[in-house]
Amino acid sequence: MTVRPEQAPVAVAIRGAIKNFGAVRALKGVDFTVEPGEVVGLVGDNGAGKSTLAKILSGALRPDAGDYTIDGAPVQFSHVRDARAYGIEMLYQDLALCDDLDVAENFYAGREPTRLGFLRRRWMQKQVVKELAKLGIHLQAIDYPTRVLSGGQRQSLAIARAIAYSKRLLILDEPTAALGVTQAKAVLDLITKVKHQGVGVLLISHRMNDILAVCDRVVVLYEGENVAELDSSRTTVEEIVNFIVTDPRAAERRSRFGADPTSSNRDG
Amino acid sequence: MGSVDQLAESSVDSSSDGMRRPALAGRSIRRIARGRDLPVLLVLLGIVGIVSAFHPTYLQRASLINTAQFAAYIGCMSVGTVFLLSMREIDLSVGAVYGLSAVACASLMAGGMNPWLASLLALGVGCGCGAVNGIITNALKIQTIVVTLGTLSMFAALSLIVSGDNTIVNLPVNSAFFTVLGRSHLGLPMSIWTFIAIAVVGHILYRHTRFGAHVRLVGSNPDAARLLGIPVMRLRLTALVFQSFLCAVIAVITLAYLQSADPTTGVGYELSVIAAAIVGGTALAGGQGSVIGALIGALIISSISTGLVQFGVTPDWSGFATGAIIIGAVTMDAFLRRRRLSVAALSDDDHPDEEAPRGGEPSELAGT
Repeated sequence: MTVRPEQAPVAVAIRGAIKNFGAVRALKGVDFTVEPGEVVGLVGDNGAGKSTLAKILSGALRPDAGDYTIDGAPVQFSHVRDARAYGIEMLYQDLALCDDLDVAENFYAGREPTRLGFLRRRWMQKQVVKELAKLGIHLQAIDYPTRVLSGGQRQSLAIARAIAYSKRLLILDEPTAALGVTQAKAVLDLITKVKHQGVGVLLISHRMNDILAVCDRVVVLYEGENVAELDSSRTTVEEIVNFIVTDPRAAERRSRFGADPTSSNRDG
Repeated sequence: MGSVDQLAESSVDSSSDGMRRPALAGRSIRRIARGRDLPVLLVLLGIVGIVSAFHPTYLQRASLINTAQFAAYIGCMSVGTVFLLSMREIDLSVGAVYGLSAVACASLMAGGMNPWLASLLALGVGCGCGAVNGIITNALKIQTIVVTLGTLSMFAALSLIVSGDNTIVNLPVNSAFFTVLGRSHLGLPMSIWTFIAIAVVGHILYRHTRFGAHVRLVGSNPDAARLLGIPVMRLRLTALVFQSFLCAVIAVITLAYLQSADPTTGVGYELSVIAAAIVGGTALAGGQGSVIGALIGALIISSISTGLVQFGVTPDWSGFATGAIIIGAVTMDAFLRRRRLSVAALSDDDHPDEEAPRGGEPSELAGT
């Protein structure tokens, strides 16, 4: 999967992404690509720039520099709505649901179907049951505030919503962090399901076993830079962790007279 | 996908809310039946019951209409407040907008303008006040409560300036404007009809339109709303204009009834207006509210005033009693919400492998 001609357009790609927050250099020229139906893990220590990159891809942040292309055509997003128009959907850590609203209202939040200006509440409620059933989720309390749902139910609803609208790329920021073992497994199953629908997935997680279980490829960031790109079928948790914690400049110094460090990393 | 079923298996048992509802019943009725507006309604009936037990004349037509009419003044405005509180905004300038609209309308009429045209312009003045509130809030990124604290003073001062500090009389009281809008129709004064109409429209807007859904969305989780692509600023502006528009509407109707405009009218209304919405179950924390509740809340506040009069208590005490009711209502609301949440938390015991709720949880959860 990782081997492809350099010139061929990829579904979603960003090259040389730079983002500074004041004096903080969050991204220092990051490259990232996702093919249709490919699950790419994005890992790195806290502050490595994972969430910043994800937010740029989802349109929530504007990069200071960088070429963002979709199917080879350059795009510029100034708002999440712009990214959404391209079928790019992000599930945010902790920020997903409005707990005063019911299941259907949350599912359709921001794109409520209306007829003659009125919400099609009944239609929404019927439809949301169908959409959730497609993913094997069965919530009974569709007209209750999501406040009354359990953490796992809320998370499954939030993921289902992101999945339902992501036609091209689904970005998941720590989707399993708050979940128990069984529920985390269910989320990973959902990710596989989405992959088989031909949607690309960007998965941010600190759980290396989850990453290895569902990802085709793993991209490691270190302080806002790409340090490794690994084929998940040929790597190990230890290797990934090693890349996450190792300062690449140390490796650079070691290989000063050797090959280009980036390409050597790529070989895994 | 058996494992996915496990993710979402447990059905929700929220006991008190758990009754199955009839499919064809009207949603508002169902809403009341499900208990959202029921406590407020019981409080209202209790107040009316107690007063009329001692003073049966309280239930006479004239007395009830008097109560409803006072409720209409604050109620019309508190419909707009439900939207604002629901999105975590507070407009303190409602009374001043009400006063300025009335004074503007009256002085245009006194200057010889066609009363209908004058009232249309007054509605425009109202909307303009709301737009000023919204634009200042959005442009300077200050809290609405601070901006409207300022504009309250400004609009109230404008009323005094426009009216020359005098009550405006000499209005063309024989014109159709005053005979149509100032009198009773089908037994009810125009203000009560207006109140009913505004409450119905407001309820539909709040529950059954995208605007209402977005208002609740923003108040429930502003960060999520932004990330979902909700145009928060435009929504805030719209809600503030809507609030001021309602103030102007009831100001024009009241002007037709009173046939004069006092520049100090509306002073202090903001507290009753906000109180009506809060008593009616609209959360200051945002995300949830009820237009029907605000309607009942306005009736509660008004029935306290008129009820105390029945007991021969000086009207000075009505503010005191209203304050007590507000504290009581908010306390009850907080209590009920805690109970609902603890019930919901109990249902979480079905998930022994579940970890503690994360940071995005509503803060109340921490207290349970």
